[in-house]
Amino acid sequence: MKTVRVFRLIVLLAALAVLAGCGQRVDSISVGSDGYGKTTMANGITLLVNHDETTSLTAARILIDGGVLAETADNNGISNIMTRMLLKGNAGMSGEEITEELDFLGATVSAGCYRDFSGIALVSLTENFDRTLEIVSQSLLSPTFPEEELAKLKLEIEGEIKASNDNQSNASDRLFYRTAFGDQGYGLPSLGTEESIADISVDQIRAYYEKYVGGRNIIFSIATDMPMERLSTLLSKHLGGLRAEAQAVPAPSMELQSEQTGFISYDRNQSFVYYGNLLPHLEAREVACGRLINETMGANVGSRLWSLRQEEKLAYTVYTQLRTDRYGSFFRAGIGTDTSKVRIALSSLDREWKKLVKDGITEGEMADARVNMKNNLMFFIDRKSNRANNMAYYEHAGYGYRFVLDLIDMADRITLDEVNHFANNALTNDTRYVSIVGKR
Amino acid sequence: MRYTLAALCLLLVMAGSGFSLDWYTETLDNDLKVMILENHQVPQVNISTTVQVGAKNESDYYDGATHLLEHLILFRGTENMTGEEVSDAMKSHGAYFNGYTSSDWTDFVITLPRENLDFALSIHADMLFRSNFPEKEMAKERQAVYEEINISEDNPGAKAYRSSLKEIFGNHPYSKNVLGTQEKILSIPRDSVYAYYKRYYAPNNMTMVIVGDVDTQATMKLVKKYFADIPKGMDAVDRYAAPPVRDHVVEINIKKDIGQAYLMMGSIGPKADSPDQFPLDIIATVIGDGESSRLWKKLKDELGLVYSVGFAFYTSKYEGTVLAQATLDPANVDAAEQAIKEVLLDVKQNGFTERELRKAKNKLKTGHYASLERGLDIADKYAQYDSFIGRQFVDTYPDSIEKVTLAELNEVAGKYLNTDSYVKTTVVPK
Repeated sequence: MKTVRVFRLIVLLAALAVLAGCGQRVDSISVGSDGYGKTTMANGITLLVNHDETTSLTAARILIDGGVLAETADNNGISNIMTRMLLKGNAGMSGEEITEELDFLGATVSAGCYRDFSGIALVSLTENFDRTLEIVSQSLLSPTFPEEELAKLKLEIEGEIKASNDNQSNASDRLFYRTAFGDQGYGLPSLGTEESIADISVDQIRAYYEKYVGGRNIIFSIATDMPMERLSTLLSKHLGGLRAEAQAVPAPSMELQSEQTGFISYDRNQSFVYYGNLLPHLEAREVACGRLINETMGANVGSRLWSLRQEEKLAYTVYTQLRTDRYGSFFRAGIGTDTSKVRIALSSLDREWKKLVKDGITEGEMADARVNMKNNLMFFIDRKSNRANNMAYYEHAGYGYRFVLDLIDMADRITLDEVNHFANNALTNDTRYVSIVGKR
Repeated sequence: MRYTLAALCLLLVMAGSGFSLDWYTETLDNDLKVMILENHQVPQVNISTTVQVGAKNESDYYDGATHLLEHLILFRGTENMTGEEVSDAMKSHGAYFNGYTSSDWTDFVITLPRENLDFALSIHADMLFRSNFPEKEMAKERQAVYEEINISEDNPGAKAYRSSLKEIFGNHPYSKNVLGTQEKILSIPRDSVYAYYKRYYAPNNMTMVIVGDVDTQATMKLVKKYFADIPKGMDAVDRYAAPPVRDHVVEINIKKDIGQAYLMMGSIGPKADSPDQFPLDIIATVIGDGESSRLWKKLKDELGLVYSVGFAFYTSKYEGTVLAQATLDPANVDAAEQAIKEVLLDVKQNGFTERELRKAKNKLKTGHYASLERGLDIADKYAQYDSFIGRQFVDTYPDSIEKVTLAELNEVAGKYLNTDSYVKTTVVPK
C-alpha cells in the first residue's frame, strides 16, 4: 500500500514538473498605443493581449481549433464533450476539486463548442487569475477524462439538447444549417444528438485530445489590467508546458444541398423562420459591406424589415444577422410569427430581399448604416470578456485580432457601390435557404 | 484608436472589499433624480431612466397596461413626431434604444455616440412626457404584444415561472403576468392607457442615470434644458396586498409539446429592505449556484436525477421569490422533489461551513463587480435599483455580503427554506 502511494506521489510530482518547470518562456509581450498586441509562444500558441486598467478584472479565452468541423455524424458532439471533460479532472485534481476551487476563487470558467472551434472562457478578479489559470492550464495539459465524469456530463448534455429542441428559434437555427449542409461540416449541431453522444467513449475522447490539442491549434486571448511583465511570467509558467504538435483540422466540404427549405412540426402558438443566404468565407471589406447591409435591413428599430412588425403586424420580433465563420458565412433574417402568417411573412421577406438585390441601399440608408455600425460594434469591445472573445474569434476566422477596430474604421471608408455590388452578387436565389419550425 | 487609450481613466476601485464609483447626483426642483458618471472607455453615452411603475401598480382593469405602454412610448409616436419619425431619428443618430417592464419598474434606455447626447436627452424627454400613440398606431402595437405573449406561452421555462408566481403570490401584485392577457391587450381603450400614462409618468417618479464619455457639468446643463420645466405629478401608488400564508404544498401541472420536464418549487422571500436578503443570497449560492453547489452535487452528480438544477432568490421591492428549479426526465419529478427537500432540510438542521460561506461571498462579490463593467449595465443597474431601494444598495452590496456570519445564515435558512409549504409547478411533455 505504502509503495503504491509513493509511486503515485512520484507520478504527480513528475506531472507538476512538466507543468511548472519546463515552460517555454514568453520573452516579451508588448502592446501598441491602442492597448492591443500579439505574439506567438515557442510552442505555437497564438497569444493575443489587450491591456486595460479600467477594472481589476481579467478575462481570457482559450480557443481550440476544431469544433463540429472536426467531427462526423457518428461522433458528433465529441469536440464539445472533450473540451468540457478537460475541466472534469487532471493529474493533480479531481473534477469535484476543480469545480470547488474555481468557485471558491469566484472565477467564472465555462467550456463549450462552436461551429469551427471549441474553447474555455475565464473571468476572474485579476488578483485570482494566476491560480485560476493554473487550474485550467493543468487541465489543458494533463486531463484524466474520468469515466464516471463522462457519464454525468452526457446526462447534462442530453438535457441541453432537449432544452435546445424545446426552444423554437434554436431549433430553427439548427435546421437552417442542416438544410443547407446536410449531415456534414456546418450541418452538424455543436452539442451533438442524443444518439451520437451516447456511444462516445473515453478512448475516443482521449484520441481526439491527442490529435487536436496542441499549441499550434490554440489561440489564447486575454484582456487584463495586470502588468505585461507579470503576464509574461504567468503565461510562461502555465502554458509553456503544452506540446506544440497538433493535427490540422481539415477544411470542410461546403457543398450545399439542393432542397432549400426545411421544416419541423411543433405544436405551438408561434412559428419561427430563418430566411437567408449561405455565403463563402468573406474578405474583410465584404464583411464590412455585409454589416452595413445588416444595419440597413434588420439590425435596428427603423430598419427595412422593421415594417414587417410595425406596419404589417406580422411579428413581435424580426431581425437580420450576419455571421462570419472561418470557412463560410451567412446573412439571414429571423422572424417569430403566428403560424397562420408564415406564408405572408415569407412573401414579405422575399419582397425585401429582391428589392435589396435589385436596387441596393440608398445614400441616406448608407449614412445611417455607417453610424449604427460603429455604435453597435462598440458593444463588441465595451467589456473585457467581449474583447477576449472577439480577439480570438476573429483571429481564428482569418480576419485578425484587431478586426472589430478595423471594422469601425472601415465603416466610413466602404463605398455605396461596394455595398450594392456585394448585395447584388452575394444574396442570390441559389444560396437562399429557409427553415421553419412550427405547427404544420 | 482612442477607445482603449482613454481607459486609463480608472472607474472601478476594488481594493479588498472597498468599492466606489465617482457619481455626480442632483435632484431637480421637480424631484427628478439625476445621476451622472463619467466613463471614457468608449466614445458612447448611455441613458437609463427608470419609472417607479410596474405591474404592481395595475388594477385588474389595467392588466398588462404598463408593459403595453412601454411599447407605445418606444414605438408609436409623440406630440411632435410619429412613431416612424422617432425610429428614423434614432437610426440617423446611431442610437440603440429599448425598454423593459417588470413588476416594480419600467426602464427606458438609449445608447448612442457621445456627440449625440443633446439629441438623446431631447427625444428621451419627448417620449417620456409627450407620447400620444393615436389609436390607429396603437392597434398595430397591440398585435406585437399579442405575439410576444404567444412567444412567452410557448417557452416552457417562462410558463413554469409565471404559473408559479401566480400561485405563490395570490392577491399580491407580483402574481400578475407583466405581459398581461391577450384579451385585455386587444381590448383596453386607448384613452384608458393614456390616462394611466399621464397619471404615472411624472419626474418625481423617475431616476435618470447617465454613464459615458461625457462632461458632467455640460451634461447637467442639457438635462436641465429638457427636463427642468416638466411639472411634478402625483407620486406613484402601489397596489400592495399581502401574499397568502401557506401551510401546505400546492401543485400545478401543465402539459406541452416539449422534450423534457421543468420543475419549480417556489415560496415567498424577504423584501428588498430586509437585512435577511444578504444571508439569503449567500444561502441560494451555496445551495444552488453552479456545479459545486449542494443541489448539483446531490441531485445530478450523486443521484443522476436531473439534467440541471439550481436555487435562487430574486429580490423585489416587496416580497422576493425563493425558487428551486430543475430540468429533468418526467419520470424523475417526484424523486427530484424529494431530494431537493432533503437537501434543504439538511441545511436547516446542520447549517453551513465556513468554507461555503467564504466561497459564496467570493462568487457574489466577483459577479457584482463584473456586472458593473460596461456603461449600459452600470446605468441600468443603478437606475433600476434606485427606483425601489436606493442606489446605495448597489454601492454597499459587497460590504453587506462580506458582513454576513454563519449564525445569520442558519437563522435565515430557518425562515425561508420551506419543505412543507411551497408551490410545485411542473411543465411536462404531452
